Amino acid sequence: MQTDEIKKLLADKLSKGELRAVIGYRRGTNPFFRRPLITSSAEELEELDFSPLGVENLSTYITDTVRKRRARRRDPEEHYKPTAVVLRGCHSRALNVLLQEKLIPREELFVVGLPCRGVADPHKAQTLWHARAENRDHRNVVIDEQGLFELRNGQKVRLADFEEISDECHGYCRTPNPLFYDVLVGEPVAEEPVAAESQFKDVEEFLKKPVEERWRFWSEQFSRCIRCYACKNICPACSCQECSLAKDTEQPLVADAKVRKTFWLGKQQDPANNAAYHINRALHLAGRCVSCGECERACPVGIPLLLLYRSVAKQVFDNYDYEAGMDGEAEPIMTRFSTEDSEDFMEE
Amino acid sequence: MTDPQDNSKKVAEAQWQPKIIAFLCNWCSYAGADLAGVSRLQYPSSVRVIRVMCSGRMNPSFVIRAFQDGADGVMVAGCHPGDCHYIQGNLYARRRYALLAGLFDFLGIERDRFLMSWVSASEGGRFAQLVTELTDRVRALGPQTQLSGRDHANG
Repeated sequence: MQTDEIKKLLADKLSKGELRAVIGYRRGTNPFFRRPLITSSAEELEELDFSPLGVENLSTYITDTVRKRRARRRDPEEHYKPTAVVLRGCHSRALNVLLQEKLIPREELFVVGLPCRGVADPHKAQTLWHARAENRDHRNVVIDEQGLFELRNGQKVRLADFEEISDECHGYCRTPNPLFYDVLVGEPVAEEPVAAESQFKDVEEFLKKPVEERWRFWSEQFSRCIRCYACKNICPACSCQECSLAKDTEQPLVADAKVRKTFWLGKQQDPANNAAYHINRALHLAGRCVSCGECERACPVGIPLLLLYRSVAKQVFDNYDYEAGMDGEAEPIMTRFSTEDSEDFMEE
Repeated sequence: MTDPQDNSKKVAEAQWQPKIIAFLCNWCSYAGADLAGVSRLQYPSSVRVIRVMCSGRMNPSFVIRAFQDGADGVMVAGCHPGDCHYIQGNLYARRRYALLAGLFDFLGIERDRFLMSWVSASEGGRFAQLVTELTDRVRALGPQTQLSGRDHANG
């Protein structure tokens, strides 16, 4: 379906009362950024935007919506109506993870699939615009799947190809098309996705470094962490209501003051505690991280979190032949085992 | 003339004994360690045993926490596959610790400080041998500073 048809369909459903809300993208405060649009009014849907600048993983917002609905026990029937959500390929994988973990019922979702030929990196686009535009008026910015353009006297003038402004995710993307959807925006992407065996080139490249250099790299990265927990808050897979790694009050397990210290890591922002936080988080994401890259975009100090989580994803793929979120019916990888699992890491 | 402070540092280094935390499962490995003691087998006194009900009870954050609190080596031992008192706890543990070991390797954390193995109740000798091996490995590496974040060579 074309974009205006989709908008019309969603507006129709909203006004008929068949949908509870729509989660999509809208224009941000400047033309390079998109932000989530969460609305239940048909008029606001006019703002719905399907540009390649919409990078946010919207499945993050669904868990909360459903959870709040469940918390209110005596809920009006209309709250059980499906929520429409716009999802790209990797985002649908994230949703699959949530479906596997029974956090969301599928019948409460209306998925608007968005085939993805790679998303644009807003920061790259902005930098190029400021370097190459003749008249830096933001009203003249056009960004689509062809590239970055400037409007000069009503004419589109190309400033950059899409490759120049695109995010690196197309180098390992396994799912350009959403894995499931109720309606699809436009036509599915015809190109073959990256092969399963060659998706972890970045991790393999990093592993070529000697061990000491790896630790020097990561300890430097971890020492910059300010423990703002943005990576955890933006992550669709981090769906716990209370995070064991980010408790901010001391809650004793038993009434004895001596055993008050029940944390598994300290709140101090020293390299050791930061490293412990990141190691724990990486392990919690084993077989659940879908490489959507939201953590890295959210990180204010630019830690290459995706590389860390993808290294665990690589292990899961190599050892257990499993990729996160490819099948909403499959049992999560860490809640099962095989008697044939590798023991290479163990002592004879 | 030698600096007395420098000398005391050297003495401290020579006297340094690694701290090894061993998480042993109640049903096999702890009994194995017990057998090593009852049979009067010699093994390094560097090991501190913590009994857990099953290796599947072990959260990888226990290991990280042990390193943070100043352990120089950590050992996890459970029943051999098929012998678990809870049927399959050790098989879940195997998956978790395979990932932890791989992650240590990826991050460049000294992988030799972590040891996982199966020790049955009848393998007292094996327990003694594993502890000796891990202690030797850790002694060669020196005090652990990557995750502890403090210089504890003096204390």
